[in-house]
Amino acid sequence: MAALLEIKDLSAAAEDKQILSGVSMSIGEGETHVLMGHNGAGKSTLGLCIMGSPEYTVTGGRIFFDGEDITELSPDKRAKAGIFLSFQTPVEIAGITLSEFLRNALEQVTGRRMKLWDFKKKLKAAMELLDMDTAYADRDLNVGFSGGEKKKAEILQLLILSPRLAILDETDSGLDIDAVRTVSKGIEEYKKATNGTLLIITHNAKILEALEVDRTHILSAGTNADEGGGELALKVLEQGFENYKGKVEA
Amino acid sequence: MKEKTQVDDIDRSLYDFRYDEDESEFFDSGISDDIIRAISDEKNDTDWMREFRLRSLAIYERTKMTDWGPSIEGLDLDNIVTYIRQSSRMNTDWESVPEDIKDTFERLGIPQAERESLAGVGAQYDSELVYHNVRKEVAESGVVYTDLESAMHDPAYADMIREHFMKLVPPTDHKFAALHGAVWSGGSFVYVPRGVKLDIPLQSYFRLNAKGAGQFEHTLIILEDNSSLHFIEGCSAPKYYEAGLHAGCVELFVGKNAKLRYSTIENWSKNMYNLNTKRALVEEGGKVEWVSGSFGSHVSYLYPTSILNGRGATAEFTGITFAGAGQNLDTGAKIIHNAPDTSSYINTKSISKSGGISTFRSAVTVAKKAEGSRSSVSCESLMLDDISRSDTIPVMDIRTDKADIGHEAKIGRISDEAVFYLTSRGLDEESARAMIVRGFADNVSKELPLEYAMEMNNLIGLEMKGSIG
Amino acid sequence: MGKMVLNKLPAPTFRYIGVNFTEREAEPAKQAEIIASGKAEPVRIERNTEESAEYNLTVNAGERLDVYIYSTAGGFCDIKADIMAGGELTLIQVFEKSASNISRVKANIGDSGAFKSVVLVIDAQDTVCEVDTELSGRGARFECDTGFVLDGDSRADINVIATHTGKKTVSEITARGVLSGRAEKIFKGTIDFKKGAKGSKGTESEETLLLNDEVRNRTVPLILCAEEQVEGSHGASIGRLDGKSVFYMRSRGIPEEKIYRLLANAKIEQILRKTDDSQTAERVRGAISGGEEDG
Repeated sequence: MAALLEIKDLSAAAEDKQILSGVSMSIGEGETHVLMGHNGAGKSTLGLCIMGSPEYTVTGGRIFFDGEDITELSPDKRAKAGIFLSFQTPVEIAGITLSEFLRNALEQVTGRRMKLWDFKKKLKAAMELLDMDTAYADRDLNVGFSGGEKKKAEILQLLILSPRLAILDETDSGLDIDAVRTVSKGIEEYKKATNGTLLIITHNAKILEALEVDRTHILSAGTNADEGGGELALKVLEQGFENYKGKVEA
Repeated sequence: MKEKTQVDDIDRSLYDFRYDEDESEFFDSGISDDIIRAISDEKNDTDWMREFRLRSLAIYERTKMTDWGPSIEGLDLDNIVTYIRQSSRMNTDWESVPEDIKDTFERLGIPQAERESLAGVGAQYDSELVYHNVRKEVAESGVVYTDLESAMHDPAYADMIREHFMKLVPPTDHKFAALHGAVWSGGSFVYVPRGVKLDIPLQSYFRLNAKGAGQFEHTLIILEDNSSLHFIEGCSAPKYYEAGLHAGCVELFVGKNAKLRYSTIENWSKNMYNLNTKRALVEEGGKVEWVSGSFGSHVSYLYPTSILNGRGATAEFTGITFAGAGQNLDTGAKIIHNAPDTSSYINTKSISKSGGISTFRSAVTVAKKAEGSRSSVSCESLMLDDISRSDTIPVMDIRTDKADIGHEAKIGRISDEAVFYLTSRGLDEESARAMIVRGFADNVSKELPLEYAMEMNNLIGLEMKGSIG
Repeated sequence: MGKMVLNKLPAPTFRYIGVNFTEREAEPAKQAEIIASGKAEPVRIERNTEESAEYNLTVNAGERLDVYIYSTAGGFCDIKADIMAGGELTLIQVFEKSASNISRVKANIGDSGAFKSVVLVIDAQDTVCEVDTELSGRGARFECDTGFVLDGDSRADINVIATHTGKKTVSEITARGVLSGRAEKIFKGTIDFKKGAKGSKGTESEETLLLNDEVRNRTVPLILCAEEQVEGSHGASIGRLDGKSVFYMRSRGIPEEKIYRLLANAKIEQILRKTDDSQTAERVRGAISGGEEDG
């Protein structure tokens, strides 16, 4: 089966600093992958590059999505193609409500405008699943949201937009146990409802418990340091990244 | 109609440097061509300079006074010639120097010889010597540091001066620029060759006492590509002149990737009308940094202007203004972003006390071609009592969408909590307030060489004396 | 018709910026109309002719008055407002599509009175608008929100003045909007603390998005202060939308052109929410989207 996401030898730089040097990765449709590495290894950068962040310049390699080369595509085109990235620090925008924003995004991604009533119903259901107060729908996008609420709002968007590939960048960090559980529930729901594909960046075993991890990728100093099955993720969570640091630098 | 004229004068004075003499009316200035010719003879001017002076006089007579800013009614404009005569007659005796100025010298610890020279009395001894030493060290690096009159006659620089003199600040710029063009006298010429980076700051402080240099002095600094210089003008001791008008002019040409820092602690005696014009033209990748403290004078109009004329050019302006009793200090900065990717940062503080008026006034213009430019302006004012006044008058004029402009202003007073905290630790209230004000002024003091920073802090201490009623 | 000097900056500055005043042809109205408080419903005025008008708004002690003026044909509108102790006035002025407008509001707020002024300029061709308010009573409050969506060759020149003479008075001036096409906008906002206005506060903020390199934006935020015991602040941010926000929205599938429309709406929406008048809100939303259907 052809991979849904295929990264070939990707290098990227921010301003003049090289951050990724020849990263490769292949994710099949419906699979769940975990991306790990110590701080500064380039995990978030990889996520941002897949989404097409203007902060980074791709200096080498290509990114393919569903067989198409998307390396030069604008972020909104990538979103339309079915890629979703959850942000570590989502942007706050005053004057646009969460609901309004999401309805606009959904219209763009699906190419059709959903009836307001149907949209509200869908939104309400998703919010309830995430234990979110439905009042948040009418609050301005991320404005005044706590850290946990912002993370939940990101998962809410994931559920509503139901992309083909979801990249979750430390969606669990800074959350208490209950909130992690809620977020996990959201991710499971996404997986179940759409047979979605996941690339999860995490340091947290909790979030992986309920998921069947197909592959684990370890990044170190901006390049692939190791790859293995789901068991590798658990092993690294226990033992840390010490082995990999040495390996790459040697 | 009016609006159109207003738009025109930016093009005239700042982009094209054309001479254009509209919006004028004639009046009798009291200065005759003969007086100008006499000055010119005395200075042994070149022909073009003599002509320039006469043309400037004509412009002066036709140019209206500004219709904004502090009143300069106290200036005797009908008899402006007295100010000019004063400046060429600089031998006031020490006894006639007002007591408060002598006092300040004492408290700032300025040596006797320098006190006299700063006060405009007699010749100077120590300073002259120091100046010559500086000159020797500097000359070895290929840098020229001399007075403008001699440079004008030196075949090596004559053309350069003719090419640059009053091109950034044309006499048409405003009334006192025209007056300056007609009667300028003394001042500095600095030329830094390509690639030369000068470590020691040059200080005009040491040579203020050339005849009449203080009042209509002209400073012309040219930095070639990749060079760097720190120039310090003035010092924190008051410069005393009997005559009450200072209409100097500073023109700075900063070449590609060159860097110029221009520091001033201005402390004119408090009878002075300080109508000074300072302007820098910065080429690609170059940088001008203004560090400016305004403490003296009765009335000031002072807005150093940076024209960012090449891609990636930068201007930084850090200033403090302290207006006490009887002072109306209108200060600030102007920035013209005239090339892509240029940046400007303005950070100012102002303090008003004992009925003093301080006004922060700025203008940031971003031209259409200045894509990718950014500007950030921050100004803070402190009112020390309720008989003073503090105004903030900034303008931003943005003509491209590809710019990023931020501005913030704050006005307030010393918080009672802060005073309480400090007094609870044993400081008396006056020292506590002085300490808070010094802290407020640290945007400037931390940019100054240590000895200047200390002098400035002493000066704030002096200004704060008796601030508790 | 004679030339009138309008929108004078309370403290003039460098002439080359061209913001000290504005001139327009205008003729005063022949007769003033008096509108007093104590009405059950808001007063809605449709100004659909170019004829000059003068309104004297009187808000009696403890009463309130809501006046909504919709200008679609331009002309000169001269408004005087007197808000007595404890009175509240809400004045919403909407300048819409292809009109050439002059508006001048001169207001005085008494003890504990409140004046809420909203100015919305939606693609009106030429708008000169002044809201000059004196907070003379103790504890008077003045809130002035200006929103603008300007495109094509439209231009707006807005002058808001809050003169604090009373003690413990509070003013809050905001301006928000987007400029595209070859639009030109001048926003002058002045907080003027007179001596004796002890305990007063004034804040002013502006957010202007520029969407085209043919636009011209002038921002003139003044704080004049002759009193020690006051607090005044001003903040402005002018330029493009920051890259992070654009990327965030694009990553959710919203293309760039659409983002800017959304944001134009957002700027105005923030003001509409404060007005709490659904009729005005709907009307303005309609004007912005140009009748775009929303089902």
